[in-house]
Amino acid sequence: MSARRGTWRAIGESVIGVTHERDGRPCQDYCGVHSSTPGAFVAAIADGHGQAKSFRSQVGARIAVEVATEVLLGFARSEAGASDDAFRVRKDLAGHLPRVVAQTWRERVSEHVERDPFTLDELTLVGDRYPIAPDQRMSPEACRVLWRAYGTTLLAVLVTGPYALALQIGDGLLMAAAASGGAFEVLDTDSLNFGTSTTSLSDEDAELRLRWRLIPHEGDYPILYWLCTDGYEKAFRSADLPGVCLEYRDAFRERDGWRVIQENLGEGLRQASARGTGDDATAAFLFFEEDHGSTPGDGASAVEGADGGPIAIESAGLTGSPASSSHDADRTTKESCTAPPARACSPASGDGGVTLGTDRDGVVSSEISEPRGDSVSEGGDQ
Amino acid sequence: MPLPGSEKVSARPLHFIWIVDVSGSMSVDGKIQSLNQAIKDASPAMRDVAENNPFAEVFVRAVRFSSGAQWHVATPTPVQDFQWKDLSAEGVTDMGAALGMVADSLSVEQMGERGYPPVLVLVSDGQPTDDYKSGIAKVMATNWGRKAVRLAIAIGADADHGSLAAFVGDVERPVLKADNAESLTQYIKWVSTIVVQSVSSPPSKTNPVTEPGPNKNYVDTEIWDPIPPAPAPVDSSQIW
Repeated sequence: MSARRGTWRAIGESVIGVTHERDGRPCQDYCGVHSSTPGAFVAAIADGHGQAKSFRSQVGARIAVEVATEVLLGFARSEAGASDDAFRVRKDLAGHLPRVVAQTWRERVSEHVERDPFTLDELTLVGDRYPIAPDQRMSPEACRVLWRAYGTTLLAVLVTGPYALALQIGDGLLMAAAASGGAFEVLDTDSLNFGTSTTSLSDEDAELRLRWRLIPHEGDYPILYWLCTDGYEKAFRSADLPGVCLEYRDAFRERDGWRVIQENLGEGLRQASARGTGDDATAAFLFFEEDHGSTPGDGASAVEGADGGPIAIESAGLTGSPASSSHDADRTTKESCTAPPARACSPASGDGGVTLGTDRDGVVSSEISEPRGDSVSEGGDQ
Repeated sequence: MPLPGSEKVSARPLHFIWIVDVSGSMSVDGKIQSLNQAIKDASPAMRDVAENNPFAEVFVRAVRFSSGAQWHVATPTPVQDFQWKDLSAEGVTDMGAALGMVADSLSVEQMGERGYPPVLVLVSDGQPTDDYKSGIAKVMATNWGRKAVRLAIAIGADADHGSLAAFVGDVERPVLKADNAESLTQYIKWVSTIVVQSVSSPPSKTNPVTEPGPNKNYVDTEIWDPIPPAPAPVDSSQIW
């Protein structure tokens, strides 16, 4: 296997859909790309639901992107995530990430509504199943109502030297292209994401619906990951998507290709919304820009890739700035929605133990313990 | 500079399928002539609706059924090019066969995944003579069949409302009862225009919420404007 020298680039953008503008609705998509941590790049996007009862979905989408970015960076920094030769350990740990992401998202949603309680207008949308008194206990039904208010999809990819890790819940496209091969969808299809229906982080069983895949960087591994919400994906015929992905790969390979795409991304997405779906449109890319003989650019640091080759990592962040906080994801059990101040809804399984902590840089890290019951394995790695 | 693939961007397809009873009883009292004329008259308005919506590409097909079923317009035809060819009536009422053919056409392979929910309009004046329930089951076994906006128009007093209501499968969308030519014309125009416009409109702020059903733990992210109520039947001295 040949060594590759180069730089991973991460770009992305969300634009408001023309029908959202027409109707005075906010952009419910959110996009974050992170490239300021040496050796780890993350692109994450989310599409808040358009339902009336998902009236805070634009916030839910932002929280989803922030949580995914933190969790994936934490994974990259963990001992298993950083190891070059521990694929099995890494895979085992990655299998817990859906639960960590889902639980952390719920906790952040609870924190948000605590800071910014539902208004009277919003309460008319959630119905009488949601407790109004601040010290009232949250029933499981109330938790569902709360999560649905923030309901969103999520797609995220982490790339490091030795591997990539992809996560997805709900609709949207996550496609990859290798240097010389064709384009392919990174994750298996979930039949529940069809037509206008989608799975959601607000689903009670979101941890089971979150699909993931760990991709070792061996052989002809992907040099492009393309993530987009359905507002951009559905502007194309399904059969055209692999070809478009390869067009992107080739465009990125042009000199300064990534910069050209970055400069034109917003307008291109607006055009896709205007001529295609009318919906909010988001696209994010992780692209490996090969270095043909020159030394890595200023501000870059080098790490060893799985193939033994040094990979220069661009150190400047482009967008995305995940907030830092600490969480104990293993504290709650399925039916225990607690009273304030911990008014959080976290009826997730209490099996296993992935504890998130915050390091001195404010990045969440994960620590694994033995599962106590069923472990999360759905949608897992292949 | 345009993004890669920008020339491939296009509006999402909306498939509209007429499912038309041409059994012998449709030849009585000029019913089939009224139906032919109503569809022809509604076509320009349907084209106008499509042209005014940049987010939808409307394709029309038609199935006829009597003794067996055949495609009357087999190819999904852009509404701008759609021309209705008059049907004649004879034979029995093999509704189930027609629904089975429609079900076969609703596969993801043929319809793709990105379209709007298809609109299926069943028009009949009689009692099904074959196993219509299996036809409905075939439609409902497809992803797009379940997602479809299914509507039914009952022509005359002899129409079997039970089978039509079973096809619709939604108490909030009652079978449209056309007892005369004027009512039939009105309903045909309504499904060709108001329904098409409603289904192909991206969600608006005032949309209602579809709650997850008992076997559905996922959400509909795009909820269309509620289809406005159908017009009231027109009084006429001529009753079918």
